[in-house]
Amino acid sequence: MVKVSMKYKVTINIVAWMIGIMLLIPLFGLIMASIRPFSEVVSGWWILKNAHFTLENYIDVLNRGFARNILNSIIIAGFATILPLLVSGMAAYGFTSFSFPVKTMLFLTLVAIQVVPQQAVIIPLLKLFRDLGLYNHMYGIILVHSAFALPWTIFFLRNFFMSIPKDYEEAAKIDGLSSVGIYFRIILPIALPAIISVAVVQFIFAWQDLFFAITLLRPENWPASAGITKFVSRYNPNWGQLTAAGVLTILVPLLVYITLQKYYMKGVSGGIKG
Amino acid sequence: MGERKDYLTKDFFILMTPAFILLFIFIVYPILNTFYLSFFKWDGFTPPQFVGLQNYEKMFDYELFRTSIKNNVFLFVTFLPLVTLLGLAFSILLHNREVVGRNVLRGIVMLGMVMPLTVVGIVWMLLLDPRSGIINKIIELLGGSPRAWIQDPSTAIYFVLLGSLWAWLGFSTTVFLAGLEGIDKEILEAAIIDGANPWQKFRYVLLPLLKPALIVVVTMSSIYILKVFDLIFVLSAESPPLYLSVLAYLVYYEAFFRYRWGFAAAVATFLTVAVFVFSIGMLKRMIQERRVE
Repeated sequence: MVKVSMKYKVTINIVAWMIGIMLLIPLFGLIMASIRPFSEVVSGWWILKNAHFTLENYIDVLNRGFARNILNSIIIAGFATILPLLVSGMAAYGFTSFSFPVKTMLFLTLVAIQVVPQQAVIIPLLKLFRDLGLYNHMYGIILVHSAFALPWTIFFLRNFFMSIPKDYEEAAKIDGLSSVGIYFRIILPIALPAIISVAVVQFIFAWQDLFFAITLLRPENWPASAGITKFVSRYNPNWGQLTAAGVLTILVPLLVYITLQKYYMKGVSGGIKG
Repeated sequence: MGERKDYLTKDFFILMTPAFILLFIFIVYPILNTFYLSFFKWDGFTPPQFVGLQNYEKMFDYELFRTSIKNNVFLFVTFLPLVTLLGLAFSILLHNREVVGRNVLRGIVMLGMVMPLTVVGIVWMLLLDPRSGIINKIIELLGGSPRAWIQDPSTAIYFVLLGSLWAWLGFSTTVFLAGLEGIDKEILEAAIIDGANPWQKFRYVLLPLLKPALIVVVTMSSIYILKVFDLIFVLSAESPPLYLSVLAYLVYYEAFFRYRWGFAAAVATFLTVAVFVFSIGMLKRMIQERRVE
């Protein structure tokens, strides 16, 4: 073992924690600005002398209908997590357990389309949504989010399924289970940790979406990530309302992240998802 | 797992069909259709009119397209090295067993990644504000003069850069950390016993072993910054911030403000090709890894 000097230990800790604090300052600013009156924010939210705290900004924001935006986010991100997981799990198992012609080609296509920008599909989608009456309906955007979740979730889950020992399947086959049965009764329970990882990453990702929301929905149906932009002003921002809406917007994904951090990290580094 | 050959069964189709229907309707068909529409003049309502390569020719003469390319390039060449090097440095720091509270720090780095980019934008608007921003206060303390960073078109791009960095640093750090954790400690200890100095240890032992992680970080970060959109949109309350336009924003602007859907499709096609070009390395690697299995 290499010996470590005390001085080295202290220095490295100071550096690491200084960076940590610097990365936290933006978030701290957001919270402080949201709970203090406008005049104190303008003269500096970081000045704690004579600080007054208020929840007024939150009340104002909720009175301006922001609760509806949060609810929209919960509905969209929730269903945009459940639906693709159901579908991609089955497809991933299909890829793992069957060999079929064009399998490699299909898989390559799948890998390639995970990088496609949202702008690459939006114009035909708008026309499609108009023709099918999906425009401004939440199930429309949920279907689009689900489709975009499939390439990486199939890839992620397939990799996990490949690591499950063959014996489980063999035993189930002897018991007379069909492939669909094996998937739902045997594979799915074993794969639960991987499923949770995918779910956490996808939920947070869907919650963050702006582009599909502003193009496929009218403002009354916008999720919080898009609805928050109605409080923004480049030249004359109302910091209190703007930051209170910001805090409300990140509350749910932050809670999900904090409680399921381990799974989120696995999902991010295991799949290749941004 | 064993692979079954009897794919012409009900089971196989039950498993595969839902996914491929969704993929086809909402991704594959629209991509191909975007490419097709890029050869038409179309406002989204009247019948499209075939114009050949005109949209592409117009694109390269278009002032706003040049601005967009310029902004995309600037962001790319600043963001990519910064996010890679900072992520690498921070992951090495966080991998060090002597650092107390490593898990808390890991959690902190990821915070920016969990937030919607519109909120990231609001956070940085607050920090960079001419009157109440902490960054201007620090600059004043250091003897510099405060600026209206975001309101001044010549500096607004730094807002996009900073926001993107803060939001994405968690990704590069986490991927490098996962890479570091996969490295056998004995290899590093052997290098030290062999008399390698810290730089040699990093350059000849650590870096080659981190190559897979490096490829993922560089590729994903390239794609991320090429697709940047939200941080520009968040500034569009009063008017479209055209001086900050990037390719992804240009598609939106042309389609929704000027109703030039055919032209927007041409820009979208250009963006898609650019993204694919930067993904080739990683996609190839993912395919190879699959073949090995």
